[in-house]
Amino acid sequence: MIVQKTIDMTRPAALYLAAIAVLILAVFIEGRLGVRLVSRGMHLPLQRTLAAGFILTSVAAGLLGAHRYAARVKAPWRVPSSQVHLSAFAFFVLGASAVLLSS
Amino acid sequence: MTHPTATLIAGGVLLFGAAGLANLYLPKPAAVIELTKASEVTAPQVAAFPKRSPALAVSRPIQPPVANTLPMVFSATDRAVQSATSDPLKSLPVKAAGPPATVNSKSTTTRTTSSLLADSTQRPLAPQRPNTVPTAAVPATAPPLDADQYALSATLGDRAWIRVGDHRTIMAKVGDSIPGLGKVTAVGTNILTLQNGQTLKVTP
Repeated sequence: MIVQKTIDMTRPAALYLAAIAVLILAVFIEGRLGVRLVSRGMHLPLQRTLAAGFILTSVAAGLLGAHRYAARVKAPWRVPSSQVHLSAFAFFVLGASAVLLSS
Repeated sequence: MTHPTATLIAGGVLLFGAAGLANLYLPKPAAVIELTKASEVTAPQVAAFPKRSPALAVSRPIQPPVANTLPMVFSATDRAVQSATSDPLKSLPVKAAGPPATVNSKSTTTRTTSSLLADSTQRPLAPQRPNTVPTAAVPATAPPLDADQYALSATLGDRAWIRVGDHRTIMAKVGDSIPGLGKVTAVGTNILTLQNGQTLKVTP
């Protein structure tokens, strides 16, 4: 009996890396090149602190996603794909929110 | 986490976090170049400045400085001060300008730029005189104003309108450098904070 012990994670991994590249590119364009990605009409109290909190939470979610990704590649029958996908989704949403808040 | 792709994802996540925090808390590139004060100009810089050739001086004589007839930006307070003075040049009606709230409520334009330009074109040309202005007679740069000469007129968002010595009003925003005052670090409601800790408040 043939048992498949590995799982093809090439496509999700490419998606995660593309999301990370998009976020890093957005930060570079906004911070170093001075291009505003959103209008300047948004002024919230403690906006910078809020953006920093979003960034740290996003990094935590991303690291959790990378950990779950490695665990799923190692033993896909123990780690459901939702643990990886939801962590990656939280990383991207929180990171994009932080980029928009910091503009 | 020994998987290479997972390590790559973790590295990218950490790089994004570092770049995002640096974007938030590290100083950004200066958008405004600091103006060099006249007192800071050194002798080598003066010597390196290109001289006027004698042929150019003969063909195009140096004209003495004339009064600026173009309309300047004044606030409503400046207009009141100017109307009280007896100087005919200052008593000219000028266009009131300032933040949008001030413009909408108090602007009374009595003379436009086009009318001033029409006056200047109808004025007879002065006869050309030879170059009799010696080099030493060129007026030096005016000394920088004291900090007391600056008064905050209004703020709107991250922009502030600053009245300079009852002569003109300049607009500055966060990150701009005001000659004589320094860099603007924050603009709040009716208050402006400079890099040296000094604050300017709107005077009623």
